[in-house]
Amino acid sequence: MIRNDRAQLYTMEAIASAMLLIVVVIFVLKAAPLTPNTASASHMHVEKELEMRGQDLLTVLDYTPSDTEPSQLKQAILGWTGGQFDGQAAVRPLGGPTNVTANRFKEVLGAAGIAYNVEVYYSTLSGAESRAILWNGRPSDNAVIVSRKIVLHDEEMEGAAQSLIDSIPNMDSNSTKFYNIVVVRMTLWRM
Amino acid sequence: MADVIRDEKGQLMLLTVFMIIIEVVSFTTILNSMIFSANLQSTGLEESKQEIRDFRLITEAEVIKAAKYATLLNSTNQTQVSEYFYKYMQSYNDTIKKIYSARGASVEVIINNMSLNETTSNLTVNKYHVEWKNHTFPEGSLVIPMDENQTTNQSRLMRVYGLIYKIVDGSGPSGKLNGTSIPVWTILQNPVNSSVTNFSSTMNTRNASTLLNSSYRNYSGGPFLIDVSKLVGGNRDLILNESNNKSIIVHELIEPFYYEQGIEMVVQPKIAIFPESDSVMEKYYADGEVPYTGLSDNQIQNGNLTNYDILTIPHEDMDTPSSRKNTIIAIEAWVANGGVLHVQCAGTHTMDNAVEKWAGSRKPWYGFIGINRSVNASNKIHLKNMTYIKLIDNVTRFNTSYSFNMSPPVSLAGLADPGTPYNPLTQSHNKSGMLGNMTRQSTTPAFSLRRNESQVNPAANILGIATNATGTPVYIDADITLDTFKDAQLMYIEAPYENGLVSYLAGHDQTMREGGERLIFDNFFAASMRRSLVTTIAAKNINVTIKYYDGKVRYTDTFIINS
Repeated sequence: MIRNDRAQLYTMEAIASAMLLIVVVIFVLKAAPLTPNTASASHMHVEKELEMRGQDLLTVLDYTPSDTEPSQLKQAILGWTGGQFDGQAAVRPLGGPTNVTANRFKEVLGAAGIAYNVEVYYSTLSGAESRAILWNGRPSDNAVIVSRKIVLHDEEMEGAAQSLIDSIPNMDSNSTKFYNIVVVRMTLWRM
Repeated sequence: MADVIRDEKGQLMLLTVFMIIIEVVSFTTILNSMIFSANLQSTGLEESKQEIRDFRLITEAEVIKAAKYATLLNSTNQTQVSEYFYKYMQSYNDTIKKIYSARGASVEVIINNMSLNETTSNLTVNKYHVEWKNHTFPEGSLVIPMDENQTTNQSRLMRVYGLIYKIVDGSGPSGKLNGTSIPVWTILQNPVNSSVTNFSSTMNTRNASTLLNSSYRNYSGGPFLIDVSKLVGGNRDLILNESNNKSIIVHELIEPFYYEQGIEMVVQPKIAIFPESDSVMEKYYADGEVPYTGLSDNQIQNGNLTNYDILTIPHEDMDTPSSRKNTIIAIEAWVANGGVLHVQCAGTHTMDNAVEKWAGSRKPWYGFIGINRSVNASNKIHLKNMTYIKLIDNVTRFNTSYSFNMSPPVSLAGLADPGTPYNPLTQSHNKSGMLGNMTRQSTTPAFSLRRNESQVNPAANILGIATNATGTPVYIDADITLDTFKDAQLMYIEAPYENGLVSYLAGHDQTMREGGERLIFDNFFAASMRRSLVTTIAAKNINVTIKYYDGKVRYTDTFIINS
């Protein structure tokens, strides 16, 4: 065999063919996902786009126009009564800041075929708690999470619903106007 | 070519070259993919960068907040301001640590040092011309009640104003107590019905003269307090002697009392009335035993107003004669420069007309505030026996929309605020906020906002509306044009005008209305605050170090925030 050039030739051809097949398979896998909902590295672009869109939305909503006017995102937290809502449905009370912000989510994400959950995570005296504001169900495996931290102060909580005050405790033990920090966490995935 | 086909060695070499090419291509592709993946934002350090960016941004914002809140203490005690700042940052640090620890990261905020900057300046005029301050009154501080703890006798209540004027006045020949000016506080309260939870304040007091009758008392209507630490020498006795002479009851705290919404009068306002001789205005100040000066047209036109803080004008027609033009121009300029103008009766709408006609408006609205006169049309409109004043309900000052009453008692034309929070002009001595009907005069013209919104001073605050005896608002078509639109009939309104303040009060003679005179004297505080020097201590040049570690990235940065 060692001296048989033809046998070597056949072997080499076989190896070359196998390598060609492997390369073709790798290229195909890199080129496109197998199904729209398959979690794989090939979804990085999609996930990245989702993440950027979500982060940009939270950044825009957290814009504070003046020292006396909280951002729209903060107003949504302050106006929230503590209930969980379907992300595509109206948030009660209608017309309140939470409802206005929920409509922004719907316009920017829902209309583009992106599902989302919006939750708040905050410290409590005994640890931490998380509650959903908008809930669209369990996210798919390739969902991405973006977040924004909101610091709450005493005077802002003065006008908040009692149910919200009961849920989010005052973490200030020093009698200052610091109240608590809330992480607004948004989970996004392609429908 | 035919040789190669038959030459198996040649084929072998070609195949080997071909395989090497495939291997190189494959290797390059895989390597490229790895490099691409490694540089994606979601890979490696990008997540840490985002967290660090968030951490730094909100820390910077909270350092500025802490400095601002510390400054708002209005304390002249540097230690107090500094302690508040550090306590705030400690609470923030404790909470942010918890938030990040849930993500497996540790963070820390360290305030390395900061400097405290002390400045003294005139009080910046705000919308309400007063500055709310919190204050703890120590045991032994004096309390001068302004409700049934004092009396419901109006003349005695008015004498309290003369007393506090003397206490604050440290130099005036008529007001000197002992040559020392002693600040007097009033605690601001919403003088409306008992559904307002902080309407009255409970203090543990006893009679200051006899030191007897200790008990917890509820005080409403904005009592006056004098901090015992300011009562040096024999000033306490001088105040009690003076109050005894005036038959004014003074209590004394037997335990400390803390209040958030107080205002402090440290300078006695100088009061002028116009015209120079007016029996109604003179009676107010005579009842209160408060010094005043009458000014003529000539004196006002010659600039004498600049020597005074308050100008009160009763039922004078300011729109005529035309020779009054220069008086109006001088008054308008004085108000714009910070004067406090209080006008009553026929002076109200004629003042707006005159300012609009002669002084030219510095603002697009009509006159100082933008009101219409309300009239008694023949057999159609009768304000007769319906001229009670109901002081307007308010919302809390901390609400983000605090300058607006969200549910005004009647629909209001124009853009004016239906209420103002804890304004000294809305203190009354009764719990309902209802001031009675005129006792010796049956008809009072009220006024209404001009229906065209652009003609109304948008910062105006409606302080009192006209009601009937049961408190039902008078809501009728009574303006001078009888335009078929029903309007809320207003009795008391104020509006800032440039740096000054204008208040209009309906009614000919407030001595005829139970509690009415008080609405004139509370202008003291608005005028006094404007002349107050305010010392502000602010945290500056704050040196901060932040630390972040999440197992992959360790980040430390030190920066300076100049709040």
